[in-house]
Amino acid sequence: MLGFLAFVVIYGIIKTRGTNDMDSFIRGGRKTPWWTITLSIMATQASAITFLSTPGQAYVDGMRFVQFYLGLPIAMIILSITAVPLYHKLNVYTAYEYLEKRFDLKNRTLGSILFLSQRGLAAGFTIYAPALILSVILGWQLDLTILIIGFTVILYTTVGGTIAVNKTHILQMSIITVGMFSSFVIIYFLLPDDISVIDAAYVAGKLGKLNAIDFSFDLSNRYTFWSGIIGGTFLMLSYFGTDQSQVQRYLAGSSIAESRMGLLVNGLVKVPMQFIILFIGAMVFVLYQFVTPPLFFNPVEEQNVKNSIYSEEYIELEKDYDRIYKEKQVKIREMLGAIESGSEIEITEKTNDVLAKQEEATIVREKAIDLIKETNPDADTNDTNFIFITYITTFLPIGLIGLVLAAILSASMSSTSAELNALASTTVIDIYKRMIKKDASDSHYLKVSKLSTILWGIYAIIFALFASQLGSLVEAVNILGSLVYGTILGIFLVAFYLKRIGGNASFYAALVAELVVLYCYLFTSIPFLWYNVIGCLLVIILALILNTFLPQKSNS
Amino acid sequence: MQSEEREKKSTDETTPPILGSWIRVYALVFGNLILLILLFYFFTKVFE
Repeated sequence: MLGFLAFVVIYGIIKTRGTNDMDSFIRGGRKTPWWTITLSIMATQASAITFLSTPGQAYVDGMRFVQFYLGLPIAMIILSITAVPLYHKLNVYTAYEYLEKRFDLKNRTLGSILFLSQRGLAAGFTIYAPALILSVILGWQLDLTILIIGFTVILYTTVGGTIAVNKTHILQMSIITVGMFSSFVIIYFLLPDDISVIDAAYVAGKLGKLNAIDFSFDLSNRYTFWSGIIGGTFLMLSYFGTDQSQVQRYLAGSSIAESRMGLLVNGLVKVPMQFIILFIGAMVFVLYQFVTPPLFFNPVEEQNVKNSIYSEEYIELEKDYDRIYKEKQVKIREMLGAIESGSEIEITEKTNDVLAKQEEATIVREKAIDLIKETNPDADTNDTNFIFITYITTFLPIGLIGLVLAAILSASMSSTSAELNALASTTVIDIYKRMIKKDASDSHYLKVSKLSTILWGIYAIIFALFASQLGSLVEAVNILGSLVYGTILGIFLVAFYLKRIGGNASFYAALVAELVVLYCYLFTSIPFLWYNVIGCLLVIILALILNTFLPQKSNS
Repeated sequence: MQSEEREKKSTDETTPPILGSWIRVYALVFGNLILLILLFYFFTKVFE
């Protein structure tokens, strides 16, 4: 694993020795082929959180999270038609540069500040998530792990810029694919001899883990077909169309065709990829039906309670849990027998028996979580992120554990490097070059870009060092994104399609929309995917209204 | 010569590497999404 880490850094540096001007540093000299763009887009989006948290989410909540990605292919088509040709023709370095060409400086600044505020924190998360898991599992010090991951990424991203990010993404996506495929194949061999893959799918399905599509329209339900296809489309449009960490990937394309293909192939493969990752989580759930899982997946918290006055009580709960699981295994086999016989009445009866055992197990687990809270009121009682890594370290052979850990590290580095690269580009192009020092040499801006990469890297590391328990990490990052993505998307949609709207109307509409989104987050229970829709629609509607009152200023 | 290069570049930018036109590539991506939704729905219903 350490060898892989060193190899990525050396590879990133050696392959990017020619990065000696701003165009190479930010847009990779615009020579990137479509297949590299696809891999780079996927590697940027697939952070370590994707591989640690997503299977755990399927284990706990089923596969319904896949619906979150249903809007992605639609967003890829829309962006290929609209944003890609526009960005290429205007020859921009950042997405926000376009806002000034279309509106004015204040819209450009608002867009870039919203991006910097959100993405700077997200970069901290992408370092923190794997560092936390690796420190717990390998016994490393958390702070030291964060520093190692953070400074490794800073090193090659600062030296090679966009080219280093894209080159290492190819390597990182390869190791991620091999790592995930290996963990899936191993589950197949670990299932009991009398349980086929189809049986495993029935067990997962009957226990509510294969709920991939839910057509009910329920605003209180976070993941449904409708929230995915409507809210997800808005979120993905905003993420891929206006977030510089993604825009920078396809701005590196050598032509409009290469950039378009890069996005569209991502639209073809992303949803199945997420489905497979979630299915792996569902299969880990099935495996743990035949092997009693830990009462709590976070070994540190479990050890804390075992070292406390509640130790005996906790061990008794563990025994109860094991007994219930053994009884549940008998019931599951009876349920599978009923499915084979085809008798609907018997299937319902036996499924209810299994669900009753599941309920018993849940009650015991809740008692264990109460003890963990009694031991340490600040303990993180959400162990979703530790489920998949526990499976890896418990069941995989030593060599494969190293491979999967390398995949997790790859995912963390690939996202973080793209984020630092984008944060530096936006800071230099949209803030420093535009407002602080307008007429410096190319080599000066290159130096400032590299310095900016280092500073944003340090900022992300500091945030990672102070990140605390926020529930499921993947959701925390998505919620954070949804707070600003809708507003940013609204500004861009007004810019793209409403040519009559001026800069003042767009700017003030965006400010009001952002305040409303923050109000929704703080004072309502509206699921976060809808913030994207609310923010975006508010910007458009308010801009149309304000445009009739405010003096117009449009550069279109 | 320059006009040939411009023409080549223009063709490169307007023609996708597969399927001959962008409309067909968009249809492929959209059709793939519809197929996946149907497959996922079928998958949910069969095993629930």
